[in-house]
Amino acid sequence: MNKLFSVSDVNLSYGDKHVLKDINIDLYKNKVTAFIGPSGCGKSTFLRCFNRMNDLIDSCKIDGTILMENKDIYNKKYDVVDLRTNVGMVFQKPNPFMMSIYENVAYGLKCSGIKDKKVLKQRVINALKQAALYDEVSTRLNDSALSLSGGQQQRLCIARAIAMKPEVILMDEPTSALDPIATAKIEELIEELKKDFTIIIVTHSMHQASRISDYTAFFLNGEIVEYDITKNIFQNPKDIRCENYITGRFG
Amino acid sequence: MYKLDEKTSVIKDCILQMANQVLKMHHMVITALVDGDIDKSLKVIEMDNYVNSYEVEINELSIETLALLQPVAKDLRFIIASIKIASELERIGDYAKNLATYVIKNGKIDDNLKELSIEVGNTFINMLEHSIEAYDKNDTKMAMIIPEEDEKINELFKIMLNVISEEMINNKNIVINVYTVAALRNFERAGDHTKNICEHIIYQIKGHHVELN
Repeated sequence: MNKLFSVSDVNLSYGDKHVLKDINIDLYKNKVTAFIGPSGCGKSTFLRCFNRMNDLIDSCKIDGTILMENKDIYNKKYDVVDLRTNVGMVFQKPNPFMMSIYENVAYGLKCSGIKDKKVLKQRVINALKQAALYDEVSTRLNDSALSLSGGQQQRLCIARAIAMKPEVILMDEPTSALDPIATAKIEELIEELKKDFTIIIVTHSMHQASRISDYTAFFLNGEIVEYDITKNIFQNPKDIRCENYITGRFG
Repeated sequence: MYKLDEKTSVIKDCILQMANQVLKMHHMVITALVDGDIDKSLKVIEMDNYVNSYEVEINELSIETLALLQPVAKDLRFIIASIKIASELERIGDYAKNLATYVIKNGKIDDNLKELSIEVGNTFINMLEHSIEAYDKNDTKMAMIIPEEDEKINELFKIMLNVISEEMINNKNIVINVYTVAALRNFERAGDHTKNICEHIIYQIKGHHVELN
């Protein structure tokens, strides 16, 4: 199995608050890795380390190393724009721009310097197809993205992320605002997307983690308590705290 | 109480009741076999219907728990083990019923097989009792050693076969002896299923499959 990220001794603080403690973990290419754990355990904070979104928070201090294909993404020489192009992100609530469906997907491409309209159109269509949205919007690409349903908006956000041809897609509770049908579509999509991308997902749904992920990491109080193949976590977890959490007996 | 704990507790109670019913059937059928007691044999056959109902009930409770509470980890293993243990107990109940049917058709067992039948029956009953205890107490150590008792049952069954073979050589009724072998094999098969129960107990608690020989 190919390692994509190798995380060593990562500690992160917001001011005096020690949020991530001695995190060591390897994440693998073309796999779905789920981060689970109670609210405030640090899983979303850790997710944001992979595209340095925490850099935007002044009080945030991070130590340790995160290697992406053996390059330290926190090295001063590492281009953060390149990193964020390569590591796309989808958030809890769909956040389409107030533009047309087409422009939403084309936006990042245009920012990266692609001007050829034919190339742009092809990349937009490909991204929409990959996000399993094209068939639903092909006749109304110029309509406002806000006219789409919640599930469609989230798939549009996924299309916007994958249009940039990233290697990794970070997903922070991508279906928590969606109904079961839209959730099922996104989960099905994740299964397809992992052929081309590495996916790291934060989810509060144990069943979602067990359905879609290959690996699961259980976080508690800023530490990774258990990390294993998802099958092992949900059939025979080794740590009692992990077992109590996934069986709903936590606390 | 946590809802899943409530459900698993109900299922566990059901399995214990079912196991005790099966145990009672085997106690009764040994006496029936030795005395040729038709009434007791009929009672054992009647009791098997209750055992079958228990299996249906345990399966339904398990399916309901899977569908509504979506258990994982130890809870999931408990449900899977429960379904399997109920199925093993149902078969063990069938073996008591087979023995009861033998008594109704052929009367009591030959005197020269009486002592051995009591011994094999009681060895099996001990084995089943220990398995029920191991299940009740989640005792994997106990579940690991119980199958040794199955070896004793197998040895006793071999001795019985030798006795029957000798009888057949001495020109006794061959047809009845064939039925007797088939009847006594029920204890041997019941021992095998009890061994399976021990494997399910270990899976339920430890989370891995073991083959107990």
